Amino acid sequence: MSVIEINNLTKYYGKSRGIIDVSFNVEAGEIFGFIGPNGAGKSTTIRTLLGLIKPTSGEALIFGKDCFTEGKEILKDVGYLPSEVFYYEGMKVIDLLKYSASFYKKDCSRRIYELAEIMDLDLNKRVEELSFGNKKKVGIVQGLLHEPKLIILDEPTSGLDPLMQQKFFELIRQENQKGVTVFFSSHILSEVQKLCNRVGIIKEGRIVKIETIENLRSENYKRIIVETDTVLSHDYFNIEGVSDFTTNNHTYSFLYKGDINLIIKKISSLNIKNITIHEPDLEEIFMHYYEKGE
Amino acid sequence: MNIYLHELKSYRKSFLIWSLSLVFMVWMGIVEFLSSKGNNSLSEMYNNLPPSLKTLMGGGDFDVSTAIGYYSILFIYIELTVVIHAALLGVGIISKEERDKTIEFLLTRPISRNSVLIRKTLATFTQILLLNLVLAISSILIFNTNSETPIITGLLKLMIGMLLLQILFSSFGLFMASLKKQHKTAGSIVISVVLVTFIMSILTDLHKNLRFLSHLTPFRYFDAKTLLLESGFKLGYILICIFLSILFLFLSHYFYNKRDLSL
Repeated sequence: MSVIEINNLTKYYGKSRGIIDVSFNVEAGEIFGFIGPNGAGKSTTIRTLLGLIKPTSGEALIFGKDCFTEGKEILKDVGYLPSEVFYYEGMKVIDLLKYSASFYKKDCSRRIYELAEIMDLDLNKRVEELSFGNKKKVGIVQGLLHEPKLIILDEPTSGLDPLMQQKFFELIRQENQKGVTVFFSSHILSEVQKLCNRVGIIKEGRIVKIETIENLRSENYKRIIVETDTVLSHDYFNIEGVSDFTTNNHTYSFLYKGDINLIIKKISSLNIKNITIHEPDLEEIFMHYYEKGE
Repeated sequence: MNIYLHELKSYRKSFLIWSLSLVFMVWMGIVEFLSSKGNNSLSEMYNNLPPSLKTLMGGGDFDVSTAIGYYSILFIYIELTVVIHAALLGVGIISKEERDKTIEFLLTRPISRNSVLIRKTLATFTQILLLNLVLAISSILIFNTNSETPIITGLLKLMIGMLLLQILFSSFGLFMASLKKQHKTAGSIVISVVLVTFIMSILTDLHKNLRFLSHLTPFRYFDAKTLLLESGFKLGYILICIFLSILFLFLSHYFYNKRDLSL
């Protein structure tokens, strides 16, 4: 069953681009990574999911309900952690959390104290006294205190120290094991890689790829670096499957995906000084998607 | 309920400051009134003022040697203050969430925008009613005990008229804040409208050929002169006030529901 269903979603702010024709599903129980450079449309997508902004066209559904018109029902079971947390000044952390809890028709106080303990959060401080990282902790507790079925995270780790990041990931994993679906937006690849089952890559408002982390790794990309003693013609390696091509003196570096024999034949006809072929790390694959078409 | 109480709580300080300022204005009034009572100089001076200056003080042929007459002159400025409070409150209670970026928190709770707006409207109305009561009670306590003739009936009329204006202008504030994405724009439009209609109310009194404009400024609907010296409440004006308030509230819901929130 799909928890999140996005169909041909487009959002323009006046004339400026938000997202264009975005479609993907997030299945129940998975941790879905949503990755892309700044300004790619991640937050726009999330704000549409939360019903804060109205799509220009297309639809976004959570639990099968429309995000803009049925937000009240949806949000009962959604926990959201924004990238930057803003709260009412003058309130104590505990009062703020209780205020947040008062919107849900259940007793959340036990969970508040539990989470505060895990995240090492001082409940008696005032909101405006908190550092960025501590505000983020309040955000985490606030996002999880009502035991949501879907957790939406927008760059959740910024501002958290490594220890807290680890605790936070642990917390998210535990929730996920209980069956909670997680939508995890980030531009930091390593954390997505650590946590997610599947990723969607968004660039300039459009989805460029949706793939499992496993498949991405096994997609058989090779990073090939060849050093020759003659200058090759500019388009020597301009064959299908070659991308991210760079050249430096007599060194040629590129990503290759396709029949390995083809490229080996091509290389073997050269007089080469040196060659390395290795698995690209995930970062390289992502960069490849980010930069494609530029 | 939680939003309503949260709002009232967060406005405690500001409400206290507005209340104290009003009580202070009334108290200053009585001090001046008492110091001039007994000698007729004040009422002589007032009666000898050129009409244009009188207009600036409410425009009526009030007997300023009586408490209610004196109060009526003071009243137009008290009323302006109270109306500014109402208008700013209406704008602020909506737009502060976007200014402080707390709107993201609020609207990601399981609550519809309609419910948010209704609770905020109730919190606004509660405060303007309370401010009205603070003014009424302090005026009665301060002025009535220092006057030979009771002023309560006259005063109640003024307060009811003022309450209608408070409701009207706070609804207008709620409407503008719901319509405009930029909170600064909404605030300045609302204050401009308050000041322009207020100045209009004085100008229409000053120039007889502008009198027809007096229907356009709510400040002329329930001014002290009309309520105390002339015909009293006019049903038409009451209905206009109520109609416009309902219209503004309705429109605020319409626009708030469909607009993108600025984040």
